[in-house]
Amino acid sequence: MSITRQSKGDECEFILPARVDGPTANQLEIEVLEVMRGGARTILINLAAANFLCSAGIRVILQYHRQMKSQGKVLLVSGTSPEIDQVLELTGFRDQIVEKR
Amino acid sequence: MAAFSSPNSDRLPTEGCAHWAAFAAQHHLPEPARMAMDHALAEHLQNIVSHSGASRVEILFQSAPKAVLAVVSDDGRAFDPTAAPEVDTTIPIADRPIGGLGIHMMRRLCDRLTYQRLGDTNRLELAKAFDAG
Repeated sequence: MSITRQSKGDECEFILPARVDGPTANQLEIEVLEVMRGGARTILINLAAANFLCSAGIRVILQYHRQMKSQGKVLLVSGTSPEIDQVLELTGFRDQIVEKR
Repeated sequence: MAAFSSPNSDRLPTEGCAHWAAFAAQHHLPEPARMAMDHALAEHLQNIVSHSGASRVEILFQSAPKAVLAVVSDDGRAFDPTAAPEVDTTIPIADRPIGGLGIHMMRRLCDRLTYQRLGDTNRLELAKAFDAG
């Protein structure tokens, strides 16, 4: 359930593991809050390796997407697999939180 | 048929889904049905861990030629997920309540959810149909 973090200036990318379950979602929330407090202006949640994203993970993404947006900053999802696309589609959020390529 | 019984703990979703994966592999279930039930089961078990106050959880898996069933029983507070309000996915992201997504996904991923309160036990059946091939 390890999350890899790559930072460059005020941009930060989190690379998530294959299974984004409850404990991984909790860890993601801690790490996102940490980089937000550190002044990040762009946060990318890279789901290229993920094939499972639970509702707790979606909640974290949505909550901090909103907070960042309200501050004129960006938090988006990138690199989604077909499985993750399907889950995001079910929630109706896909087009709003996935980075346009 | 396979049964799994466990004390309620943070490990319940992981362990329950591992049992499901073993059952699905043993019965050569198709990938879409495996993934849908895996996700729905994970959501339901996480809700039990987070909200039910249950001390014990039992899971039963049953396979039929064109469907699979998971029956989850817990001794926690009465809660009927099938009665939870529908999530309106058309509301813009800025205005939407964030809660309720887990049950919303269970509904979309399964073909049928059936809840019963039997004495002091919650019993939820999650059914997923598939094309036998």
